[in-house]
Amino acid sequence: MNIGLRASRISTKVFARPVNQLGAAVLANNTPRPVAGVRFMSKAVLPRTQDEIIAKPDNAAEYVLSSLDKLYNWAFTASTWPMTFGLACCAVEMMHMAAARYDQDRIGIVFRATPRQSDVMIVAGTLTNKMAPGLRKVYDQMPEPRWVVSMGSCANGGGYYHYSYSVVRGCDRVVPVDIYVPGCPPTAEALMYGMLQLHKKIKRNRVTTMWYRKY
Amino acid sequence: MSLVRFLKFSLRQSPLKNFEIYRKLDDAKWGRLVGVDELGNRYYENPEERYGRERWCLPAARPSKMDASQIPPRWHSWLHKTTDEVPKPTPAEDAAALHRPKWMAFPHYENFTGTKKANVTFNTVRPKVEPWAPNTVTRD
Repeated sequence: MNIGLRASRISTKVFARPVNQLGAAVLANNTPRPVAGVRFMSKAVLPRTQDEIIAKPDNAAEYVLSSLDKLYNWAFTASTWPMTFGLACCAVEMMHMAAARYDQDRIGIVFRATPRQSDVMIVAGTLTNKMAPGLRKVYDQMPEPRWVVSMGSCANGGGYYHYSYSVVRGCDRVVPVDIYVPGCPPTAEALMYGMLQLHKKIKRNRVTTMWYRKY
Repeated sequence: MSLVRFLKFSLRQSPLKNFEIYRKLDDAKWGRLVGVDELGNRYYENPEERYGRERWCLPAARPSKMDASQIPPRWHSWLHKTTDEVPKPTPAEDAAALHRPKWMAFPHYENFTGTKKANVTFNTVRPKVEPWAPNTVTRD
């Protein structure tokens, strides 16, 4: 008895919704009723998000260039060499990421001690006012494309030393940051996850397609 | 030793399965299937492996879509040996087995960073600074 009643209720609910000719339920009362024969709410009409505009090619040239971009990104993510900017205790966790357990080398990350040959800068630790010009100088010496990972709460936003007279309240006041890794200090596992997130971000990059769209 | 291990594990299963494991885990692995979670991730165990490598997860997602946050919390605690208890196949059964109230069962979701569902912060407080609007009055 009960089951029967329930089933009937569900069925009335389903069929009570107004359905247009294409079979899509009309969402609200104020939505314009589609004219028969015209495609309603097709994907091409809907506004695209910024990510979709970047990711999806619009013409033949962009198809070729986006494939080139993907190849470039694949090669880039296979060897992202970080510039070590160890400033405090976070640097110890950064070393743990390089050590045997989390072994960053297996995903192509090798520390490079010169900014001129590195792709990523890991800002690990408290950035003081005295160090800030040095950090900016090192960032400026890195070749394009360059990426910055801010590691730990001190680099993210000053952290424990936020109200100190001598600490920069976040390294994003000095350099543009791509990935923020939270923690005090973040574990090596967290930093590794951050680096993998950076790889995903690099893979969304479209260098030659953007160049083509510009000209 | 590494070659012995490689051959030992590789010859026990089909080449197709081996290929999937190499693609996803970058290692030769063989073990007992312990369970599958709601996303289709498969969890394995092999006590003969070295300490710390006995339990692992073979993700259901493609290698490019793989993410550590796809592992549900209960399976995570099993993987990290917080518990030896194997979670039930569905979250609802799991909550019932734990005598957890319905309102406490929180559906797990992966990290949506970089997708459409990404968390976007917003401000609900009136801004402290009023921007200067450079309106110039034209002279008659």
